[in-house]
Amino acid sequence: MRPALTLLGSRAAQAALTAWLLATLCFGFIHALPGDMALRIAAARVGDERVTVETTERIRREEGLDRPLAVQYAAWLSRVATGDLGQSLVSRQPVRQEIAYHGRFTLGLGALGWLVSYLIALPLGIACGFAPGGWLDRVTTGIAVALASLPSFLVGIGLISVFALSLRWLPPAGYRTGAHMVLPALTLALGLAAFSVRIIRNAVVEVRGAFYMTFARIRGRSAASAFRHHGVRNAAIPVATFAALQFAYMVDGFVVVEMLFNYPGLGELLVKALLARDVPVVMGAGLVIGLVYAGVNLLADLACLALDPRQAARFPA
Amino acid sequence: MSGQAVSERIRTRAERGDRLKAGLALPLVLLAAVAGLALFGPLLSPHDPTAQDLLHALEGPSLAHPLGTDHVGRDVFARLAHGAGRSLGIALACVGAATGLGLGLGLIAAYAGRWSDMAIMRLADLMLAFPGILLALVISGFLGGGVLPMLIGIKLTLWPQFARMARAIAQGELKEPHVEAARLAGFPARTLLIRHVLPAVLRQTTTLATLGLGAAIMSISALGFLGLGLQPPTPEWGAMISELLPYISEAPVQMAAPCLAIFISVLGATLLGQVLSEPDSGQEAER
Amino acid sequence: MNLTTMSRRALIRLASVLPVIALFGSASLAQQGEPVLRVVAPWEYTSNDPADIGYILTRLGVAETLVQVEPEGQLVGGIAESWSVSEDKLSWRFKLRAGLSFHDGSPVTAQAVAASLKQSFIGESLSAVPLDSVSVDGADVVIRTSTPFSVLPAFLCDYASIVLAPSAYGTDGKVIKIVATGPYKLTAIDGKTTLELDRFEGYARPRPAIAKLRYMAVVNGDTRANIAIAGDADLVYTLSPIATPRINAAGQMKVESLTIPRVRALFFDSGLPQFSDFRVRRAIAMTVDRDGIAKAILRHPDSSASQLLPPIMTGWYRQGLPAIAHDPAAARKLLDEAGWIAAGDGIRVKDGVRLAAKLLTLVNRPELPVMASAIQAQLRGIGMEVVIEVGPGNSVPAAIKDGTMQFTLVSRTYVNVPEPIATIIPDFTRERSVWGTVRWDGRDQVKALTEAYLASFDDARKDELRGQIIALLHDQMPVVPVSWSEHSVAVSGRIKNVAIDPYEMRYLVERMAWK
Repeated sequence: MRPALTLLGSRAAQAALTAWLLATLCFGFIHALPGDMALRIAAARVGDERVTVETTERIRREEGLDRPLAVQYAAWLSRVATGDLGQSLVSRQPVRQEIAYHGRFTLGLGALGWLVSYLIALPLGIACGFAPGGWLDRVTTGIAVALASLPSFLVGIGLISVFALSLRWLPPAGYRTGAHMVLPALTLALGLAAFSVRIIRNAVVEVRGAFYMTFARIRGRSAASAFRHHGVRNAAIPVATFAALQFAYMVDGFVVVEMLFNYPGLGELLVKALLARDVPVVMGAGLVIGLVYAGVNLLADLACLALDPRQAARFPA
Repeated sequence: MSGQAVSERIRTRAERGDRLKAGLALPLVLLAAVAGLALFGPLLSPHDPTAQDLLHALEGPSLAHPLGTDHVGRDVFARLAHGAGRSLGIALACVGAATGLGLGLGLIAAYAGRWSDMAIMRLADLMLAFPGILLALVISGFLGGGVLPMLIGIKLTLWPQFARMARAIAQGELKEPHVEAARLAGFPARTLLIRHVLPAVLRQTTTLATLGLGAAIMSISALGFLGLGLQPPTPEWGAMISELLPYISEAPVQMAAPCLAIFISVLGATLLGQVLSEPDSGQEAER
Repeated sequence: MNLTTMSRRALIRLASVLPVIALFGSASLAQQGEPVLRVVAPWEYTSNDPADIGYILTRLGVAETLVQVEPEGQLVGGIAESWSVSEDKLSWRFKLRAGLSFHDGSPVTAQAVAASLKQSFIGESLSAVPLDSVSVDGADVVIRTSTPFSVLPAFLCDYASIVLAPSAYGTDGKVIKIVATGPYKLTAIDGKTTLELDRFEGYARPRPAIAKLRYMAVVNGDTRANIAIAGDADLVYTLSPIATPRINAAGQMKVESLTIPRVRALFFDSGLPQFSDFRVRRAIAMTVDRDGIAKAILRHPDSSASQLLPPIMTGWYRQGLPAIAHDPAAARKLLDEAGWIAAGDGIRVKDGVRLAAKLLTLVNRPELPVMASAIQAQLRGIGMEVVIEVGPGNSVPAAIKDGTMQFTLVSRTYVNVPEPIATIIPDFTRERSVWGTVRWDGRDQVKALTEAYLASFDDARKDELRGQIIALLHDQMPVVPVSWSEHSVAVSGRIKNVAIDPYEMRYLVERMAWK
């Protein structure tokens, strides 16, 4: 348990630091943006066309936007220290509530997309790894490279055109039912699988060529049995590391996919909050994304540790 | 059995040169096609990519307009060709800038170690966590749209990969006996890094930069698609797609052209990166 | 058991939980039995404040105002049955409909209405009303103004003045939940995008035929068009004219449209040397090919705007106005006369100032950037250089405020209340408007006319003033109207009796029925 605990401790500190830095960066960015913040917030509240000078001034007064930046930042920091992320300047709902609501959708979409990507990539990758150079390997590699060369908005447009507009099998936008989730999750999954199928294939090829596999075969195990007993764990290490790396890709993907499918996730919340200059929401979302990123990395490290205890040496006390 | 494996390895190594050459053909042809479009396309097309002709909007391919016209009657081929120059140019600039920044910071991290290493690598993690598109959006808002914010935004999202790679290689290289010897002989840090460490790093850079080029082209088009990239009427592939999207059923050719252009250039860059990384299969895992 | 197996098991357990989390986010609230009318529109339900989202509540028939406007334009009673104005023209008496109740069952009393109105008048959107007091007299509500204000009933159609029950307000006077009087009541709010509504059984004027409603906000216009193409809704509001043919061709929904008092127009900062001379603005009006844009881009030839407001606004549409023909040659001559002479690069120059400007337009109405690029190309033909900037919806007020607005192409409604004067005043009588003109020297003239209009209770005099205001705008061109908007609604085959309200105040679902 020791290395896992040490790892947890140091990573928790790192996570807090990353999250704080990200939130502070957001604060800096949003105040560096040109334009009157109170006016942007007023427009987000009453609608662009109904903005008046009076509304703008009232919001500036009420929300304390006329205070010096350092004071506003200190106020935010002292609130966060007590676990309070403040209120959205637009909806006047607690930020925690907004993030929890939108985060739930992103989590659902992300988990589903990630799962589907491995449902596609794992069987294909392993099959290809068992027969490198075979027809399946070549076809899969070809498709994977092609998919990796398509920006996610093109994949999304393609899926919408075919399955929602032409065949009418699935709804083109929304979030209410499972059917609404299919296309966004698939858009995300295809982008993820394009990379992971190659990683899995290569890991399997590598492991199958390793000496311990040869040794197991000499001991009389069948190829499949040898792979099950010795190969899987070794092949899983690079895959787990890579799965964490994919998180960065996912965050980017969320923004595009959520915008494209009108899906009320964190990416959509963040873009809208940025446009509306909703500082507490942007900072809160930054904080959460930073924490989740650190958490995912930690999870990957723990997974590697579980799969290969020798790696404990990598994380000295 | 193991004998067979060994002989297989030897054979593979011998064949590697030929395979590399064969593998290079396709990506180079693809990239040459896009580069050709960027360089010669504007010369081949007599049309101004921003000249509108509302009376001839959404016309199919013809001799005058080989790829048809868009919703305001602009020549799609001319826009595609001018867009190629912009996409490639900006992507190259992004990758170049990211390479410079990433290598510089990575080398400093490796050489100085301790706090600066910690700070630089945490910053790299941080940038990886920040969605690149949002970053570009924020910077676009700050600088008012156009090439520069996009360049900065994409550069900032690409550099951490270069920094990580440079740091890893440099850390190994700095431990090599000949570098150690040079350090003991009192050569200044700059000389050490430039003479001994940089060449080793640069070999890996080509691969990463090629892959980065594909990523940059994708990011530029995604920003254009979301309306956050180059401002109209500048011809840009992503913006062309979003402009033509409402007319998809009336103008399939016009719509397919920029999609294919993005696909071919990213595919070319990706394949090239893969082929270049092949001699060292461990690097293939890097994205 | 060692750490390895334990962790691996934990991983497997985690993996089996993930799909559950995924489904949690997509749990369907759909109910069996009663069909649900699915309404899609661009507006998100961002808060409970009537000043912010009151229009969603009036459109869906959740909340009502004292006075309402029919699609044909006449003002009718909403919560009020009738109204009268006193001899001195300062005191308005509103007689409430008998037997009304709020969604929580409590009766609609004069006290409750007056209390709700007082809250509405605190907000800014009714600040144009010279309010003196709101009081109760017997069963009537009395509103007193400090100066004669002939358009008060029209102003009371404003969604900010919706009447809510006493139980809707918290102790600080802020709205905590929506308890109103309309034919539909809110039963659930899911995030900012989805509202669930049920028929209010206490509503009987007459009883609505459709029992259940689901409202979904979809901000992006292309996405709304996709929903209409896929037929994944019963009513899709505010569609781009570009999408109409595709929606109709798909056969799932049918687009119905109506020209409404919303104009896509160019507004100028007339304080800039480029635009200070009305001849330049006039030359621009003569150069912009309104018919071509209406036909090729908007695909609706009738939408070409010859003046500020369309014929549907009888009274504000003036028939006798001299037409401004599309004539670039005459425009060039006019610019020559005004002293703008073409330089070497073809762009005109006067006193060292290039005839060049930044045209700011908005991303949230997809036809605007396309129109802007057409206008850019056309103005290039008379020697004017235009750089287009496409900004988010709120960039125009921002640009006007920080002084960077040069000229804009925006879509502007003149019926925030069913009386265009309410929008003409802020747009054309201020030095720096929020959405309209900047530094226009004719603003004081318009101001005098609008003040006379507000104070006049004589229909003939008001008509004369309307004519003078529109003629002044047409002559001085502080605004160049390009096209009137279509209000396009995609309708599914499941419903009948669909009416389109040109004032965009109500969706009138309570008058619709299943086929």
